[in-house]
Amino acid sequence: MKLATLFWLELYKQKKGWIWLFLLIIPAGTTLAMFLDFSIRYDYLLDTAQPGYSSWDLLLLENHRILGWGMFLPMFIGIIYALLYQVEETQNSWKQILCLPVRRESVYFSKFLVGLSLSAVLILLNMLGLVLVGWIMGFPEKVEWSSYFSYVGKQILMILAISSIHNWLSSIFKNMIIPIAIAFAGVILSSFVIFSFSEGAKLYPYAFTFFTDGLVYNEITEVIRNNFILMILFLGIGMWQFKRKDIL
Amino acid sequence: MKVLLQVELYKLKRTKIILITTILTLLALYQGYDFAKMGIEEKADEVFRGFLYQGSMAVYSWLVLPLIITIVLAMMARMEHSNNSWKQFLSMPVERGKVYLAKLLVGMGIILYSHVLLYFVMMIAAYSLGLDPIPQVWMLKRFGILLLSSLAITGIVFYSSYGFTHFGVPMVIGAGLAFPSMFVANSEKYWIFYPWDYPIVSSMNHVFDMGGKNVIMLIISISIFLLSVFIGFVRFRTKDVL
Repeated sequence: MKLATLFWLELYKQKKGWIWLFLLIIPAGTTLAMFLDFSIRYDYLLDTAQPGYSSWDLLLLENHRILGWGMFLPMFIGIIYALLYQVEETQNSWKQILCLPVRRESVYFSKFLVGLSLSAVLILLNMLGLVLVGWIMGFPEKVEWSSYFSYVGKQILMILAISSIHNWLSSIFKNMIIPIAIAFAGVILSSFVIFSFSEGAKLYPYAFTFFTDGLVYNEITEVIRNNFILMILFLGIGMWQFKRKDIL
Repeated sequence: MKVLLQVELYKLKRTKIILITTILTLLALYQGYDFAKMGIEEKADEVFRGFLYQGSMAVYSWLVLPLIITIVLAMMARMEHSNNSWKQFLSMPVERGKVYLAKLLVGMGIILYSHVLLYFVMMIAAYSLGLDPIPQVWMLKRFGILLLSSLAITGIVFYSSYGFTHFGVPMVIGAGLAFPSMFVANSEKYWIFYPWDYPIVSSMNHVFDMGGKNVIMLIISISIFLLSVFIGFVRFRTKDVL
């Protein structure tokens, strides 16, 4: 019960924040980019496509690999968590929250859940934007809802590790730009981890979201296992540290 | 003015700005170094330009440089925004215009530091790999153009970090617009409308065709920079402190 209250409280705190704008602008940008891409070179993409790919598959791959959504998603998650924690740091309202009769673990976990839900909204909006592009372009095939929803589901599953890492990082730094800088560095590194050490990428959380397209990479059980292990590990470390946090 | 610059440098001492800049820059070199080793194995000619430079620049101009600009400028603005130390700072007998200029100069100094660092570590990498004579003049020219073409990003991010008290605004602008830049750079017609592409296109003109627009690009870049710094300056002079 307490957790649910804390969850709504977190969303309530963001009501006047920038986070909603962020959640709308980024998918709007990807939708616009994909729309321009397809209105300029749809024929070219159809000609060079691998046999068996429908227009919807092409759209998904353009979004995921050419535009780079799969690679940049961890960066956006880093920003979401930094914005969530920034609310407490600016007014130093940890004092008020942590003095209330709530368990510190619940406070920490509610932040994690809120960040995860907001990231899920971001991912879902990106997917709906793709469907909108396909609908405006008038693709001959019917919408492949099943593959699109599995794309969304896989992404939400794959961001678990990165969410718990960024929840932890954002809770230990007072300067919220540092966790974002770490996210930037993580994404830059993932651009060569993926292509140079594809085995290492299965252990590197910033690269996990890259494996979610469902068309090129299908073997993801190992990645999912690592993902869960990392999530539990960092949630544990984070809670342990958060319980010892000083408030002043 | 000299004192103000010293004050800014003094404030940098306790932050991790220089450390972050150094690490991110070295990440770019790492990829170039990796590529260069591959090039030597294949016995390709022009390993320096084709592999070491190309590999480092691919990631530097696409991601590292725009993100360094974003982080450095946003962090320097946050130093004042976070405790609202504008109150103390601007009520002292300092000229506001000079405060603004000092912030801009120090921020650009760190960005320049990143360029210089990359230049030198590239040299060191080339020596340690035993590559043929390094085209110094060519490199200096490329780095100069890279610096000029990134001015547009600097101007836009600088304006947004002092125009808004929330650090999220410059972060989202800097990071959000860097994300589709490689995608837009592939288009021959439209990259000119997208300032985040200028560093990519100007540093990798082996790969991307500039279509004879390089002078136009530099003019646009410099005018965006001057315009945003000027608007920021006017707003900064009339800023309320509370």
